[in-house]
Amino acid sequence: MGQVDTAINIKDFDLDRLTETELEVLERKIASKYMHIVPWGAIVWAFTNLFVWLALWPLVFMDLLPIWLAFPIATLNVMLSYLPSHEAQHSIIAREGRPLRWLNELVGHISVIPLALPFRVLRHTHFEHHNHANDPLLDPDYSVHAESDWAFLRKSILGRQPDSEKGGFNAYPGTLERVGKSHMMLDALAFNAIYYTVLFACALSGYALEAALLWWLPKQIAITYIQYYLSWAPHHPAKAQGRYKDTRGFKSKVGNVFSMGMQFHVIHHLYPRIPLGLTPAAFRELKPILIRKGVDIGQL
Amino acid sequence: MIKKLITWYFSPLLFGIAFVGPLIAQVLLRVAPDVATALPVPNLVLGLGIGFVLGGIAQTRRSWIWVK
Repeated sequence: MGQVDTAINIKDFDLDRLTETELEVLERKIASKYMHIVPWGAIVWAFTNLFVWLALWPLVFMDLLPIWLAFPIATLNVMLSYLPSHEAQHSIIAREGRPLRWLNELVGHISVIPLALPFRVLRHTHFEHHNHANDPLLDPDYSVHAESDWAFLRKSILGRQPDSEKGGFNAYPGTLERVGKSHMMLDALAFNAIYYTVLFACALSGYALEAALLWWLPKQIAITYIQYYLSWAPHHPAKAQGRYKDTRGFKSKVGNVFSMGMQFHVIHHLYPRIPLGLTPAAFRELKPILIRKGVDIGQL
Repeated sequence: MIKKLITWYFSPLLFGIAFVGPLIAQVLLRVAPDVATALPVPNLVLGLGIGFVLGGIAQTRRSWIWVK
């Protein structure tokens, strides 16, 4: 990660004397300090995570690693596979036309292979989530919202059933159609076809348990975990819409690392180009402005 | 035709037969090898049978779980 410019510091300003317009200008200036920094950590994370997950397969199949040990590692890999792609979805690694653009797209595509989800589908549906966060009709991730953690779990599992038309990822085809990107469902079809074929081929070759514990079950756990920390927790109770209202800060019981940095997800929704690793620092500096703007910052 | 093929490939019934069935057979062999080898039918046949039934139920009910 590069260095943050320290030329502008919020401590040099008396916020009470600033008008709303001046406050917004200051907010943007402070936020811009944290942007345009290549998140090298996320890039290394993407490649390492994928390499480890792929390596588990031959290690287990050749009896070099017991499946009971490979299962938690695979679960961790699949859980960690989304966020580097998320950085790429927002072109944080490199915007269009920049020299590292190819790396941005490569990270986006390869990091989500363990999740068996296509990058382009994730990117365009995620943009719609940003544009319409908490809108019951237009937010493609709205289906997981529920009153409590347990209610979330129930909805998350029910959303993956064959009869669920809008639960889980089933709202994505409609979203893509609405934004004129329905052709990208071919990516989803291809990913799913490969995923199912690998599961079937392993099962019919006598490796069903290995496939279940290296991919199928880790994927189910990871989807629950990702939906909880990226969709449910930072937007709960998902009633309000608007720039300073649709996302909240919250104190996670498992800490910031184990909640994938989502305690500070409000920064991401305000400034999606700030790398994940810098959202805590950006939050701390912007906190007085966020409070004045009425953002729910929880116990942070 | 292609749509029907795709629907069939991703159907709960096929998943039950092609994945859940062999999985049950393999788990049975690992967890209770004595029982698995003493069965009147091969454990794979038993697994495929259970996978077929579970997949068929999921196909009919459009859900793998009993909670709606």
